[in-house]
Amino acid sequence: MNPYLPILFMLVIATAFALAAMALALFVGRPRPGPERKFAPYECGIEPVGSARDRFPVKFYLVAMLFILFDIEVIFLYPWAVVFRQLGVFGLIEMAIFLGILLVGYIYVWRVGALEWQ
Amino acid sequence: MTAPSLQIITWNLWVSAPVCALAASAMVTLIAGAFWPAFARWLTPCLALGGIALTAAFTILAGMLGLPPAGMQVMDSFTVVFDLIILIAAFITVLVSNHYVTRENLERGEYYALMMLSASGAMLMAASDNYVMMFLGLELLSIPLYVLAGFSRGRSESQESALKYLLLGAFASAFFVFGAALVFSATGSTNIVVAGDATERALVGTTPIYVIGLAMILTALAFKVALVPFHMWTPDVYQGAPTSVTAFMAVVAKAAGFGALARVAAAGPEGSWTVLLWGLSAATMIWGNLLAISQNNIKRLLAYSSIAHAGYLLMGILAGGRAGISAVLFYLLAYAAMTFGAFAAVIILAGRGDGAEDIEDYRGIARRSPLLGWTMAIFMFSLAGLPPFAGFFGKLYLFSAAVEAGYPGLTVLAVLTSVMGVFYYLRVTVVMWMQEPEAESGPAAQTSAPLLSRLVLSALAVAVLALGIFSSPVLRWTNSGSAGLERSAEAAIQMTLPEPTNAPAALSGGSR
Repeated sequence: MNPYLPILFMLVIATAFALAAMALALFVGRPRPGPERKFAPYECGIEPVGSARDRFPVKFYLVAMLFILFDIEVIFLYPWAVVFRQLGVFGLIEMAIFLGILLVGYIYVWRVGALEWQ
Repeated sequence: MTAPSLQIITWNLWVSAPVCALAASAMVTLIAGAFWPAFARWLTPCLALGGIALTAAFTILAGMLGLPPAGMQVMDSFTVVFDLIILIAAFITVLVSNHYVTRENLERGEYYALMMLSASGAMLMAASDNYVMMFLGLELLSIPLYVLAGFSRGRSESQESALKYLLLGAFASAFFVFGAALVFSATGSTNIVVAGDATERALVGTTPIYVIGLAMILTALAFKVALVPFHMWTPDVYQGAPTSVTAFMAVVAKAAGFGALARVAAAGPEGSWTVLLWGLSAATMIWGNLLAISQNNIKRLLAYSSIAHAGYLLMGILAGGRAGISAVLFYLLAYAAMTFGAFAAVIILAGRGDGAEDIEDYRGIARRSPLLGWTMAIFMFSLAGLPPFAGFFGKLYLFSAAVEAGYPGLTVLAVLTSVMGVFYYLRVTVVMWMQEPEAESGPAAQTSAPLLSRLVLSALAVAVLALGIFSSPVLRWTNSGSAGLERSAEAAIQMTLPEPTNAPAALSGGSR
């Protein structure tokens, strides 16, 4: 048997499956949505209620920025967790210092009032 | 892989103790400013001064221990001398800032904390013998500076300055990382000395990649110290940033870049490297001095002057060796004293809201305030390089080092451009002393200042004079710094030279 024969089978089955799926949709599925649906941001899901290009408070940016800052810091915990056993106590102390510095940043942000919505 | 032993950890702690002390003090200042904003006016500068003094003590102590290189940092006498120069500069910045920050309502705890963090980055850059650590230092230096440049949020020039500095600075940082990656791919090491030595002895065949990588690193550092043609940002950023921040930028950021350049140059790259430095130095001296002549704004004038001084400093790096690096260190100290002095005078003269920043506004100021007239004259004479001030001896040591190293042509060029500098520095003095104040012309310059500012101004003028007259003991001190740089370069070669032939073998073994 030719060793490439399975690839031919694969091609035939894949084509047949795709055609079958399309044919099934034609017979069983609901009629196609109109063009106004096609151009909507989400064809299926929540219907848009208005333009996204509105003015909204700058406070959102502050919260988003703070979130990203602390979120990225969490990423650094993963490589540490992977090599935790090799690093041992040294790594534990290092990570405690790192989190301590983060805590200082958090206390600062809290104290300055960046977390309050007013 | 074995866990790092306790021995290494202890050494590491001592080697990085100064940087850690400064960063920790910065965090204390930050928290104190946030918790007691009512006392921030006097509490945060006091904490900053205390933290800087503590760091200086740690630096001297760590220097006396004579530590071997640990991790990616070296605590040799070069680091000690350099760190102390940075700390002196940071100390003066806090003193100079106080008046400005109070007047312009910028007194928030972050101001001094950011300044200290930036200074710790500068220290890290000069102390690193590894491109990775150097990059970390570069970022630690730059990111607080971006914030500080935009610190007077109400003024659009300040915001413009911050944005320009951030965008171009981030671009330069990318160059540094890419360059370090190329150096690593060519030599199999990110250690500055080991990588340089490997190519020198032709242990690895891919020298062009090493040269390209080194050139990219040079580009990033040239941006930081504002060498032509990477200087475009300097006048705009210097003009827009709060004046005290400009002073800090002009001295500490520049010093940090030269510290890093000295480390890279000590690794002994030759050939195209020297041609590059020669060209950069010549272009910087000519272009900086030429453009300074036509400036009317004093901050822009000082920006172009700082570009020109970067050109002179690069001559010392090019000359290299004990004399060259020692001259660079001495010049940095002299440059710090006279630049801070000039900016301290500019801060007082500008008045509330930085109204009077044009040279024309200074007409006849010397009559109204002899103190400002005399001190500004001293700083300008020193910047122009006239004896017996610090600037003259700094230039003398730099130029003689360059001649001894075999660059007489560049030295002649430097002397000629210094003569050009005399014109625009003396113009400021002439306006202050010899012109009549115009009654109806724009915002007149202010002369009143708190006692602390006047004391700092006088002290800096005395320092400029003293550094000139008693230059030899200071030069001996900087000599010890440059000797330390040479010694640790030799030590690094002997201590760690991983067999480069092993690296490809290990790679191919792994992929099989």
